[in-house]
Amino acid sequence: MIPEGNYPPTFLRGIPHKGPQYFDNQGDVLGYIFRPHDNDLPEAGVFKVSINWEDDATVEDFTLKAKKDDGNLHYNGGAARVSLEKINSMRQEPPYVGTVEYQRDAIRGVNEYHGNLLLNEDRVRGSSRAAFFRRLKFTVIDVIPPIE
Amino acid sequence: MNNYLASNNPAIPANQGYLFSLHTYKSFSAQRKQIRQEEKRKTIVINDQDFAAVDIHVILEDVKNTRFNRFLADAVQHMKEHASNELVQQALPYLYALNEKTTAYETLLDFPPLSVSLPEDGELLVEWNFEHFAIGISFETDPEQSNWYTVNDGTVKKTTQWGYLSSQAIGELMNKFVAQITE
Repeated sequence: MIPEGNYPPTFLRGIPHKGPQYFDNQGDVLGYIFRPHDNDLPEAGVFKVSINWEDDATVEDFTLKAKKDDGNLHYNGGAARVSLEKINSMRQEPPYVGTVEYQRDAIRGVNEYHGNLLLNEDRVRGSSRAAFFRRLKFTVIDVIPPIE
Repeated sequence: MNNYLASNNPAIPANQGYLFSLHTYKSFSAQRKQIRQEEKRKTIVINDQDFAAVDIHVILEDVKNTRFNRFLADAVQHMKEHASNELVQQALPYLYALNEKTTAYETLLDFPPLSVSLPEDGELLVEWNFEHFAIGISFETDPEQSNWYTVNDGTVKKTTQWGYLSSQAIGELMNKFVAQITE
């Protein structure tokens, strides 16, 4: 059971770039921003998808300014702001019970806001894949543009 | 009835708007009737039995001459420009069938345009996104992996379904989609 009180109402999911992997022909963000990377492996049937819990007003800036080892920005596509209430609502719907969990996973000294969405391996693959990610898209409140 | 409706009806010149006489209206009305009859004659009804029997190339030939309605036109154009020929050929019969099913609503309902994206190499995602629900098809390089869905945000009484395209007749799928967007 997740202790709901320990979580803020929103979290951010960084978007690596503005390409067609993450945005459609109309510029709308895709549910596939939640898709694990190709080389990610599930642990005990669960994929971990990194997020930043929006604990305070600095998290947006912190996330957008995050840089890779080569000095380039991590999230040239900006970041999606996701509603925890909407995630919890989804988790109660019969098709998705047991398919989405979340956790804190602070990286001490690096990213205190870090956490994970925990996505059921079976939903991420196979015939339910597109449906699952599209359902997750309904939990996105808005997309914060990247730092220019 | 609004300007958009009038200016997008091929039987009515765009600059006519509402300001045409009864005589002109009757003339346009006759033209529209003729166009509808011609379009009806051209229509290929794709149902379960037909699709199994019809050579897909016959369908694609017909698609070339299809005027996609305003919900689908931009998406089809974008898909042709950016997706692989293999995926386009897989997707076109479905878009053609969806076009056939939804053209009747073109001037009646304010649907959003269809969305197209290429979330991965060898993957073409076609989605129709409404405020509280969506329908979609993910076409994959391996057609056996191509899948479809109808989902919603939990605030509306709509059906959540998904499955592989290979186990779903195209006619039935179109009926599911149309039921979602019109019910």
